[in-house]
Amino acid sequence: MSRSRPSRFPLRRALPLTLALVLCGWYTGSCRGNPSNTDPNRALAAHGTIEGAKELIASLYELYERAETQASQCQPLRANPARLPVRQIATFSGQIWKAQRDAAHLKLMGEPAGEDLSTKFTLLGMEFKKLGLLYRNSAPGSRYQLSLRKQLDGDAAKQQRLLQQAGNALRNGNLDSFETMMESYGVKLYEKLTFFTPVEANKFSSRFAAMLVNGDAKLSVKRRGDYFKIAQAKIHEHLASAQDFPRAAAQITKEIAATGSATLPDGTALEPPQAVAYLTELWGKSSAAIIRASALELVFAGSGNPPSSSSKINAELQWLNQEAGKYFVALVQAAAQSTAQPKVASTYGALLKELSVVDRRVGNHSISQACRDALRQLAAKDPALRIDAYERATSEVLKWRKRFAAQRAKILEREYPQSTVQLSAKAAVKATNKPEFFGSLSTSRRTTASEVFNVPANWQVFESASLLIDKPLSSRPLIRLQPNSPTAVVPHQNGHYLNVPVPLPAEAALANLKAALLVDPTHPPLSIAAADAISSAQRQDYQRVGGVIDRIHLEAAVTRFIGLPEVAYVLIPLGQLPALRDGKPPLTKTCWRLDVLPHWAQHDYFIVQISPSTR
Amino acid sequence: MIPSHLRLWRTQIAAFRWLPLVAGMFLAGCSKEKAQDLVDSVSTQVRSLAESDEQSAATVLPEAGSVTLNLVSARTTIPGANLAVHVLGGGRPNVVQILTYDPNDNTRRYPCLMLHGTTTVDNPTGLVGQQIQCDLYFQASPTAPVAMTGPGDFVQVEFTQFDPVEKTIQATVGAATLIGSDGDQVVVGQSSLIAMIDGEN
Repeated sequence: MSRSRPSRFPLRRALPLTLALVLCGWYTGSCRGNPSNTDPNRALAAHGTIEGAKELIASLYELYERAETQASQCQPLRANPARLPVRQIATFSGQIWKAQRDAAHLKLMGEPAGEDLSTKFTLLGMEFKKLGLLYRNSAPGSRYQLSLRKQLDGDAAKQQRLLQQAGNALRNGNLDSFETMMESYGVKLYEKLTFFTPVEANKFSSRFAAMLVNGDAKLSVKRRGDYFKIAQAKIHEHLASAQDFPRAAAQITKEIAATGSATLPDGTALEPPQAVAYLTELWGKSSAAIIRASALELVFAGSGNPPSSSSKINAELQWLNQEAGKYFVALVQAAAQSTAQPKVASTYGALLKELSVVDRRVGNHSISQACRDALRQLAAKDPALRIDAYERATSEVLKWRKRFAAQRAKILEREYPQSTVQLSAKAAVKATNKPEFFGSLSTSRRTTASEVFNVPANWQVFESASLLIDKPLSSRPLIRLQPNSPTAVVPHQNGHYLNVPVPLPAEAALANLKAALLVDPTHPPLSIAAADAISSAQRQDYQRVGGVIDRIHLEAAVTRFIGLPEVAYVLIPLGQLPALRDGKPPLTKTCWRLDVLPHWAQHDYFIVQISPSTR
Repeated sequence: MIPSHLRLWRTQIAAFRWLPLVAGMFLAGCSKEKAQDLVDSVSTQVRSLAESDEQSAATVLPEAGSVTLNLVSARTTIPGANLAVHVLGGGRPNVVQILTYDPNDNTRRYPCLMLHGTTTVDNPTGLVGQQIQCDLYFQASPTAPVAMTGPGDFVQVEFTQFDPVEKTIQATVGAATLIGSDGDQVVVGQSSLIAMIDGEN
C-alpha cells in the first residue's frame, strides 16, 4: 500500500530533494538513509563497526522482500492449498531459518537492524509455517509429507555423523567450522520441517537443536569478546582524536599571545575572533568523537565483558569541557595582551560575536561569562570604546524586544504543540502498510512515536506517519548546522530531533535590530547580549520554531550516535552526551527525525512569520 | 500617587494638550529643604489653579515628569519620565533614551514606556528644536501585550522646551501605529511628554 500526497506548496517539492542532498552530505560516504514515510522499506542504517555487518544487513533485507512477496502471492491460493508452490515455501523456510540466526548475529555485532530483521523474520517465518501446514493438509501435500518423512528417516545416520563432527569441532574450539556445517545441514532440514507440526518435527530436530544451542552459547561468548575488542579499538581512536582540541588550542593561544595572530598547519592565518570560531568547531568535532565513543561503549560493553568504561568516557568529556573553558579564556587573554590599540574595537566586537556562537551551542553563557574579565582588559586598551555607555544605551532595548518576542511566541505556540507532547501522545493509528495476512490494523491507542522498535520498522514509520504528517508542532532551540548550511536542527531530545530548512525571511527584522543596537558594518555590537542578538539573527539560530511535519524518518538511536558526523555536532549541546542510558536495551531504542516546514520562529528579540503563500 | 486635590491638573493637560506642559519636578533625589520648598510651591500653585478657571499650563506641576500617551482606547498618563543621552563615541550616533521607570528596579511600575532614538546631539539641552525618530515601547500592565513600533516604523519626537531650573525637557510625540505582541495594532495619536534630565553621561 503506498501513499501519495498532493504537494500544495512550492517549497515542499524542493524540500525533499534539498534535504536528501544535505543529508547525503551528513553521512560521510554514500546516502544510506533509513525508513521514512515516503520510503518505508529502506533498511535501517548500519554503523558497520564489525566488518561484514553492512553486507549482511543488505542481503537480509533483500531476502525478506523476496520472501514477503512470495508469501503475498500465496495468499489467494490458501483457498486451494494443493496449488501452493511447495518448492518456494520450502526454500524460503530454510532461508528464513538461517536469516533468523544471522539477525541474532547482527545483534551481537551491535546492529539495531538485527532487532528489526529478527522481528520481521519471526513474523514471516510463522506465515510460511502456516502455508507449509496448509499444503501438508491437502491431498498432494500429505503425500509429499510422507515422502519427506521417508527421507528424514533415511537421514538419521547422516545426522548422527554430522553431530559427531560438530561435537568434535566444538571440543577443539573450531567454532566457525561448527557453525558452517550445522547451518548448511539446518537449512536443508528446516526446508522439510516446515511441512511438519512442531511435535512431528521434534523427532527429527531435537538432537540437532540441542547441539546447536550448545554451540551457539560458545559462539556468543567468543563473538561478544571479539567484537568488544574491535569496539574498544574504535573507542580509543575516537578518544585519541578528541585530544586534537587541547593540542591545537594550546598552540593557537601561544601564537596569539606572542604575535596577535596564529597560523594553522595548512597556512591559514587566524585573528583572535577567527581563532574562537576555529576552536568552537574543533571542540564540536572532539565532542562528536567522544559521543561516538560513548555510543559504541553502550552497545558493546554488555554483560560478560570487562567492566564498563562509561565512567572513563564521562571523565574524558568533563576533561574536554574544562579544557575548552580554560582555552577560550586563555585565548581572549592572549588577545587582550597582544592586540594593538587601533584594532581593539573591531577585535572586541568580533570576539563577542564568536563567543555568543559558542554560548548558543553550549546552551548557556558559561563560556562568555568566564571570558568577561579578559574582555574588559581588552576593551580597556581603547579609551574611546565606551562599553558601559553602550550597555546602558542598549540593554533596555533588548529587554523590551525580548518580552515582545516571548509573548508573541506564547500565543503562536497555542496552535503548535510541543514536539515531545506530540510524539508521546497516545492515539489509534489511522493507516498501515502491513500486508493483510499479517493481521488487521489494531485500533488500540498507542504512543504516536514509540521510544523502541516494537513492530517491523517499515510498518512503524508508516503508521506513526499517519498520525504525524501535516501536523503542527513547535520545538526549541533551532541551531544551524554550519554558517551557510540549508539546514538547521532542533537538537536531540526525548528520542527525536528536527530538521528545518533555513534561512528564514528575517532580513527586515535583522536590519531593524541592527539599527536599534547601533550596529553597522564598521561598528560591531559591544555587549555579549547585543552580540548574541546579532550573531543569532545572522546565523539563523532561533529560540523556538513552529511549523508542520513534512516527513518523518525512523532511525536507531545508537546508530545515529555511533556514526555522528563532525558537521552534525550541534545535534547534542556542546559538552554533553546524548540521553541514551535509560535502561532499555540499546539496540531497541528509536530516534525519530522530523523534517518540519517552518511557519514561524522565535528569535530572542523578534518573531519571523512565514506567510502561507511562500511556505 | 497624586493626591486628590492635585488631580485637577490632569483635566487641564487634556484641555491644553497641544501646549507645552508645565515643568515637572523630580522630588526624589532633591535635598530635603529643596523638596520641602518644592512641595510648598506646588501646593500654592495648585490652590491658585483650583480657584481660577484660567489656566496657564506653565503653573501646573506634575509629580516627576510624565508621558501622556494618546491611545485611541484611552488617554494614558504615565507619571515619572527620565531622559538620558548616551554618548558612545567611536563614530557611533548618540542615543536618546526616555524611560518612565527605573531600569535597575526589578519591581516595575505599570504602565511603562520607553522611547529610544539616535541623535548627533551629545547633551540633553542641545535637543531643543531637534526632531528625533524613535522606537516606542509600551506596556499597560504586567499581563498586557507589549506594543512597539514595527520594523521600519518610528515615532517622531520633537523637543520643544528646556527648563534649566527644573532640569526638565518637553516634547511632542508624533502619531504612530504600534504592533502588539497579541497580533493587534495599537493606534497612538499625537502625544506629549515632559522628562527629567538624568545627570550622568
